[in-house]
Amino acid sequence: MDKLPDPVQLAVPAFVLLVLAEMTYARWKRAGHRYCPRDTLTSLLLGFGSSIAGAVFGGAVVGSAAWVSGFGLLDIPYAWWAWPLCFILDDLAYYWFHRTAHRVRWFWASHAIHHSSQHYNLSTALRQTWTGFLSASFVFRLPLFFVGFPVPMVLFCAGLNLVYQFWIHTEAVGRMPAWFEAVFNTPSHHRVHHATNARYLDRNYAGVLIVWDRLFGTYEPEVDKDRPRYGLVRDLGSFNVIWAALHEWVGIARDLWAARSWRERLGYAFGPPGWSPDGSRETSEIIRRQWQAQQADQP
Amino acid sequence: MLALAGIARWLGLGGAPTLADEGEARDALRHIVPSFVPRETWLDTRGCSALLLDDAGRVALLRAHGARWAARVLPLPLDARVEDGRLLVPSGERMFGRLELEHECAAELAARLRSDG
Repeated sequence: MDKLPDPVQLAVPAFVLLVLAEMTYARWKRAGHRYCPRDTLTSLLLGFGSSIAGAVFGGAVVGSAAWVSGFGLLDIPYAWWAWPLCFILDDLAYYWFHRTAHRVRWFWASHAIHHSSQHYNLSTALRQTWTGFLSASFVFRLPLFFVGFPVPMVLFCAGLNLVYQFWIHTEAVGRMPAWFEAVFNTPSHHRVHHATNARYLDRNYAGVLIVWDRLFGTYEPEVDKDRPRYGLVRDLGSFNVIWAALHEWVGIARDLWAARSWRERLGYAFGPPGWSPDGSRETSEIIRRQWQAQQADQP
Repeated sequence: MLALAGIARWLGLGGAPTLADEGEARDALRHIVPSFVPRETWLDTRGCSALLLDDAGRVALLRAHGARWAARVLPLPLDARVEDGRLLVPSGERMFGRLELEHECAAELAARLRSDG
């Protein structure tokens, strides 16, 4: 198999320098609330743990990709046109992975770690999953291998996608030029995605191209009068690294243990986050409907 | 990693937030649990936590978490007690911990939380 560099590994020094620059900028702008040392340390440790998990399970992911490639419909070459096509289709696959990661609890259990900070800064971007392999998140990219894109090309594009998403985790950038906001994911769009405000819940799943959200009806613009509040709907209230990484899996296990039927078991594992048999908990949809009803009642 | 977190501390970033008055406590909670409509607000004398009650017999525990606020809404009654003049209210979650509230009426409030509010 051809060997291509890992864009994420190459970008790590830049990540560190940019976090330092953002911290300095926050200090200079007297916006010290944008960072919390313990939160930052938690984010960095979670990023480190994610790297270890990637090293442990990466071989299995690449193996499954290579296996699916064996059934590839086409033999796509490393041609000039194949790279942008691969990047765009990989970004589309990312959109559907990310949307599913918010709508299906099994996938959310792996992704919640990324949303567990109540801060939104560049260190938040480093909070990455430890359990993506358990959720089988990699299946969303398998169609690209099945079509016939070379495995190294897809993994390289996926790495570029992840590197791009680093810089949008900031409050230091307001809005980009209108043409850029129309096409690309930006700090403004992604602040919406990380917000727990009812208006913003489960919106803007894009990786690089925000056009997917516009196309599939999940786009929500940032509204100046409704400043984003970051974190989980039910914040952890803890800086414990292990808890941040695994809390939703623990929640699933507890619910499955207490479930009284297969309907309940399936609902708890594969329903939307917040699903419960009697409706006593709140899903994003319920929270949004309550908020919309409150808005309608206001004069 | 430790160096980056250390630099954040050295730059003076973060720091525990405080509540100046009951209005700020209600405002902080409204941002976390919009559906909770407080009837009563009990503020820690140092401004680092608050306890709020609603008409539905629920209590909201609001406490600092790093540079932000975190909250839990629980039904009454609660296993509240007073130690060294501080009201201690368990959240029932080991990782979230308990609420500590310094208040001159801590004993009275503890008794109310142990009953039905």
